[in-house]
Amino acid sequence: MNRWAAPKANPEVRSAEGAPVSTALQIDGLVKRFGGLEATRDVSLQIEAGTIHGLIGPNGAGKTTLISLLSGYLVADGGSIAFFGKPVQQLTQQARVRVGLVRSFQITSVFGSLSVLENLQVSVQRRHHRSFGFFAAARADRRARDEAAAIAERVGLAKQLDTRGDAMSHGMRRRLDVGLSLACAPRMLLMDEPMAGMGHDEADEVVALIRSLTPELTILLVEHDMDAVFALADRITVLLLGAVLASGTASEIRDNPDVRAAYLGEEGTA
Amino acid sequence: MLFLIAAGLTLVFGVMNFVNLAHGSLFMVGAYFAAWFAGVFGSFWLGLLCALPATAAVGLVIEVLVLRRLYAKDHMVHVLATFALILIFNDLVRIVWGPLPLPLDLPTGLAGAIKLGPVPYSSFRLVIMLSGVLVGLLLWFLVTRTRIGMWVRAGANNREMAIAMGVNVKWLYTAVFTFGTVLSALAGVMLGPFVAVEAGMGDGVLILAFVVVVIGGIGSVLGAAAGALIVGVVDTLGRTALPALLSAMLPTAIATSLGSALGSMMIYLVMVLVLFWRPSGLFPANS
Amino acid sequence: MKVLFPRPTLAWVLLFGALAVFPWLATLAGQDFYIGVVIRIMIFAIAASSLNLILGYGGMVSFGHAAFFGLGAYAASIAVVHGADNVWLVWAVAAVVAGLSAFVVGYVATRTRGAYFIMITLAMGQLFYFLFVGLRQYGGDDGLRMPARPALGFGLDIGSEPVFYAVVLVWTLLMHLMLARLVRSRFGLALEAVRENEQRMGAIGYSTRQYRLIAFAVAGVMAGVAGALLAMHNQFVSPKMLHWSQSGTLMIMVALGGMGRLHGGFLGAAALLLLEEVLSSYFSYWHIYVGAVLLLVVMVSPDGLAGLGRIFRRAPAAPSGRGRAP
Repeated sequence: MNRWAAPKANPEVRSAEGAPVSTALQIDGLVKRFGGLEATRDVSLQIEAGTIHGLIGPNGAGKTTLISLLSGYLVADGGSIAFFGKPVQQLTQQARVRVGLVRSFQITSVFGSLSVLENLQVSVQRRHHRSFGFFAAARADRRARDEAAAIAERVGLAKQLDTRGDAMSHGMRRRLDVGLSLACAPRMLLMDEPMAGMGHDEADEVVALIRSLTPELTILLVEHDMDAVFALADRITVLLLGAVLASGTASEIRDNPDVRAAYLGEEGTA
Repeated sequence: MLFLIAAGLTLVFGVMNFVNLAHGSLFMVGAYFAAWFAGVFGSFWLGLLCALPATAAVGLVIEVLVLRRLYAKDHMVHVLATFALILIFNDLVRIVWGPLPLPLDLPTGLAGAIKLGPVPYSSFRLVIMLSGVLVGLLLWFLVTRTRIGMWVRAGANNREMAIAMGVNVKWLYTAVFTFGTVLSALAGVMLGPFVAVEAGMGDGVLILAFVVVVIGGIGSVLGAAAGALIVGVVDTLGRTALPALLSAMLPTAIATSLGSALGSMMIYLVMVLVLFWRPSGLFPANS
Repeated sequence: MKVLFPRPTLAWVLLFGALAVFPWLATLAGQDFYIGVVIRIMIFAIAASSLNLILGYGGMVSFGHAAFFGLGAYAASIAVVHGADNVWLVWAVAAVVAGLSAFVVGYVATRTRGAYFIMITLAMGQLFYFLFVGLRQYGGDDGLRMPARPALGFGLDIGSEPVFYAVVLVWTLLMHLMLARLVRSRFGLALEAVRENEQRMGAIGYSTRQYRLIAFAVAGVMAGVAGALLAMHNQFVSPKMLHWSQSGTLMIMVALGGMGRLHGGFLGAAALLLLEEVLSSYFSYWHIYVGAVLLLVVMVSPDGLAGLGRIFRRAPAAPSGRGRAP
């Protein structure tokens, strides 16, 4: 039951004949300044529904800032963000989550002393209930717990339901983090370096997980792991010093001389 | 004088992210040592000179034995542990020196008053103010001009970066804490002649020092100075001008009762207002 | 599933049963004095548990909680002084006054976090302290006497010690049940998650400030009722009840008993008050020992006594109150 993944409106996926797609995210001229520093400079890009869009660039390029601007953690100084056609730059972080724009974190961020099931239940219950639920026992919330268990299954943590958040391996915690985001029933996920700190096998699992999330979900993927990005992304945008250097398909980016010089060249092989 | 205490507190707070409730106890210990040594040697100045290193030693012992293990833990633990230290010290001084307040006399040379224009001003109070200014200048010099000062500022501003840049954190923490202790002790010695040197004398001062630190901004010596100034002014106004103002407007009985209540409350009201407007204080060290 | 939801254990049923028969036993043994001691313990157990809600479960280090304790006490005393003769009315007044104040204080304080939260709750607590010190018509620094305990009704004389003991016992039981329900509820789950990782809660769509504020207000109401009970017990209230050192004492109780553990407040209150009883009868300077014990507990066992007790059967590792660095 993919209740957590499928949004009500059916996003049109690209048909074989190239029929029109629905744009999940449209960013125009986004600007963010910190004092004298312009962290985000006139960034524009477009992400189509059901695709994975990679965001790469050297450290300090402004990738995390951009994610924070999109998720609502930071407020932009200029520009616009349209989510499935709806402008969201004025919305709070909480409001954006409610329309389906959710982020996951680079430094794994879960609820340490709660079990996996409880972690996911907290996220699910917010969606289910309007009230604060002071006296309704959390343990008795069947709907939420069942859904939480389903999500745990989805991210491969079905056997760790009772494990404490801070008692798991790095890879498992990362999957829980993704699970927390999935529990919000998002239409789009902003993933900030999900591969960070992963060993080879763990990274493969995460790649498989991410790939399995589309086409129901749209994903913006910030990553340093070039293998993962080129394997997953339909399109890639390269950021340099807060501005967009290039945007295109994986092969276009790989062959782009500016990108090679500024970024990929330093990294070695692409 | 409040500045002296607050400066030490803000440094410890800012650099080590440590909530030190025992700071007031060190103030008290300083005063006790001074009173004791002064009694032994018969001289205020010798008392001062001996009290500072003695208190510093106490501070050092606390830091090494207890506080070191607690830096990594959260504020709650700091609060509890240093609160425990307050309890311990309050009884300890009474065990060692008895339950009655110790006398600490003004140094004979400065017991009188100097005429500032038409107003006689206690010469010792002048000395206090001067020493406050001197210490302030010294601190400013240390913090902005020396290498140690740079480490301190780096630590207050961004601890992880400082560690990454190779600053010897353990040693730095000990140094900062001991320095803060000395400042607090100095304040205690200076204030000793005016207030009773007794158990619990540090508690009221501690709260005020925290208010100063929070208003000024955690980790910033400049903030401590600004905060001390503000608190001093507000406190004085609250206790003199406010009742006068109120008695002009309201019947005397209500005015005095309301006035005294409001007077003591003023500082806290100001602190709440400052935090409302600037949640990190006026001159926070963290960017 | 065992981390947050322990089953109610036989031990606690027995404990409340024991408390229920205690007054009879004490009178029989000629040790009436201890009835008063146990009443005090129960009242402080409620107050400490209310702090445990926001401190242990909510992760909010409030250094001004005693203000609500004292506000409840003063509200009750002032109401009686002005002629209120119905204990139900007096309790309601205390609860409302404390609750509203907690809401206001919480509204301001929840704008901050970490060390600043500690400071602002401390400051606001002191504000209330000085307010009552300054109110000469209600005793000021000397305190205020409550002429008589307001009537309970039902033909029971609340002035008599056994009846009052029963009243306090019932309140303690009620508060304990309420707290248990609350922390095991959806709200409780969310509150603990906010304590664990507030940023993440925001990122999954929670308005975290609301949760902290509500917890703060509820804790205020609980403390207020406890305060009213203490005022009725001593028939006296003084500004010292609102002093930050009293907040510190409550915090010690929570820390000793176990933060974020359901029985932390109760265990801690009992432990500290009994410790004080015993120590003060042997030593004239007993604070030093309390301090030493506290220091030891803090450094050795972050989960307090509840972490050690196996009969209360909680999950192996307990959540620790986490302060947020600014």
